[in-house]
Amino acid sequence: MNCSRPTFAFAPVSATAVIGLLLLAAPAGAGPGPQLPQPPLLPPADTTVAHSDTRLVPLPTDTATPARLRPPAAGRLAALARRPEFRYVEPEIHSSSDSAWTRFWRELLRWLTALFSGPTYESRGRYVVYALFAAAFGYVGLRLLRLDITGLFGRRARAVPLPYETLSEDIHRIDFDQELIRAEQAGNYRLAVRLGYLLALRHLTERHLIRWQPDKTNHDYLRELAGTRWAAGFRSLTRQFEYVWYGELPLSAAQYPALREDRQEFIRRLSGKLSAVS
Amino acid sequence: MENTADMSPENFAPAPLSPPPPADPTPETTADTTAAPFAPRTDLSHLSRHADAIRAELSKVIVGQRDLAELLLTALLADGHVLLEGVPGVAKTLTAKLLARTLSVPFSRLQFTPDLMPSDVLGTAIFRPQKGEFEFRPGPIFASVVLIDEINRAPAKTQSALFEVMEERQVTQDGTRYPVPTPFVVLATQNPIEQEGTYRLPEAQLDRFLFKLHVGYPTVEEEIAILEGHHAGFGGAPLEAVQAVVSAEDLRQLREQVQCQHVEPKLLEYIARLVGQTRAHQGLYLGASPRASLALLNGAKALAALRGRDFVTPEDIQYLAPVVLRHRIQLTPEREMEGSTPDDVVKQILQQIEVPR
Repeated sequence: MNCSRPTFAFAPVSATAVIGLLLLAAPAGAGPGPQLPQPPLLPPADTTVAHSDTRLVPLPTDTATPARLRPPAAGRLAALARRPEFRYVEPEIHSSSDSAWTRFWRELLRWLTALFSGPTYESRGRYVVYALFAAAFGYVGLRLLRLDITGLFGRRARAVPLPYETLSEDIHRIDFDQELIRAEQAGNYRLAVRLGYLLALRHLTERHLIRWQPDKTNHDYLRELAGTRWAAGFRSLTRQFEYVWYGELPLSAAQYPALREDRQEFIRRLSGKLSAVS
Repeated sequence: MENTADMSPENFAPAPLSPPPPADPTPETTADTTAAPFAPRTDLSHLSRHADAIRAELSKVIVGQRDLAELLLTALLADGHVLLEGVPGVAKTLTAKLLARTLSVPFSRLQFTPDLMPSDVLGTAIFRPQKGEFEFRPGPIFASVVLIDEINRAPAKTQSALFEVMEERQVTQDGTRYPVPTPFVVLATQNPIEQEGTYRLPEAQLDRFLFKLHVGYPTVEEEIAILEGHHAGFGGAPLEAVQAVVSAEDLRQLREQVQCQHVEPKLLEYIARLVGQTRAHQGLYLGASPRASLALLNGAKALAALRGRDFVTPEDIQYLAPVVLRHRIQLTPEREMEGSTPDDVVKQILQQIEVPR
């Protein structure tokens, strides 16, 4: 059995012929196309060269002077680095004259920068971001639904949290007994009627029959008393007060006692209600 | 155009006067009339009688809208112009027409359109070849009650024609002043600014309206009453049922009486503080002018008279504050985006100022 491998016999060819064969072989292998006759398998290049007439010329030894590293002068480098056009990060300039407020904002900014960058962000900062987003969504939702949840956190806000322009008088601090005597003795019955009306309002407030608020009108209180046994008496007092105070109706010494009696009777009845309750 | 038709002489003719009904013995619902000797120092029975007559005439056609009628009467007595705002179909124009019919004074109506010119409103000078000179032909504004329908459908150029006549009761043409009749009341209606084809009125013009009244939808019961009246055949000619009950002279006397109403000095301060607060409020871009203070004062005096009092109370001022101030203030963009309205801000201001007592 002849088990010898087939051998190729190469005839000496020139380099030009080799290049020509290579050029012919290139399009055939580059893509589909008409099947060209396959060239014989090329031998290794050195074999080819060895069989050619080309003479091998060894490269000359590199005898040039090796490159010499020349680092810049440290002083020059530092001078360049100090120039603003080469400074890519603005250094923080801390002045000893900074106010406490400026230092506070600087420290806060530094803390926030540290929180939202680097490993701190991965550990804690991102949870802060999640919390902020949740709070923002919650706030928008409450605003859209017009819900007031302030009552969940302790006592609800008072009915009148707004600051008043002036609170000229506090009916709970006036010494009505003394002021009424003084007005009556001076013959200032108009003022006496006013003080008596304010006294009636104080009694109604203390007995939780009305809610005293400086922006309310007398008729607001009348509406609060509507349907109660005090409505008629207070309506009469209100009418007297409005005619005497707002209407500046002249009031004589002979007319005043009847008004005082109405007021005192109303307050006596209120006090009776108080003792009955207590 | 309707405005040219309104310039016909018959449109200016006052309606015949009918006698007013007797006075209502209870002019103020909340007042205790039994509490003698407290009674008005001035005789308000004349005013009360005429007011009741107008109310009765209006109620022949208008169902509900009692507050609207009350405020229209207040403006009439306070010598002020009224802007009625509401969506189409809520009887703005009808109410204004009926109020005009209750007065035996010259009446005209203008339908404001986008192409309306100032001369269409005020009048114009025309050349008379026979005389060889120009002659001023008065426009429909020369009437005692002028109904301007859909006022915000005309551009600013035409609106500005109303500035002088609304404030000074006169028209100046070619250097000559032409006074309008007395009384002179402009009743204007408009659709909300969000409606198609409407313009925003200039601030200077809005300031000249004493009140801006919102005309809302009727309640279900009121709407049923409207339907029943229409079904019974009353809806065919509703204006014919309304008669003139107040003459120009009556109105002049009533206005004089209103001007004599008593106002306690602390209430003047209260008005000034309320209006002043609109200029300092953070939610307002534009506050109210001193003209608003005067409007609030005059309106409160008229309302007090209608309620049977010869003096003003804080109740009157608080009641009128929204209708006097709502068109004179402008919200900041932030407040508008929050959904606030001028009425919200006025209410907030009322809560911030202590009632003088």
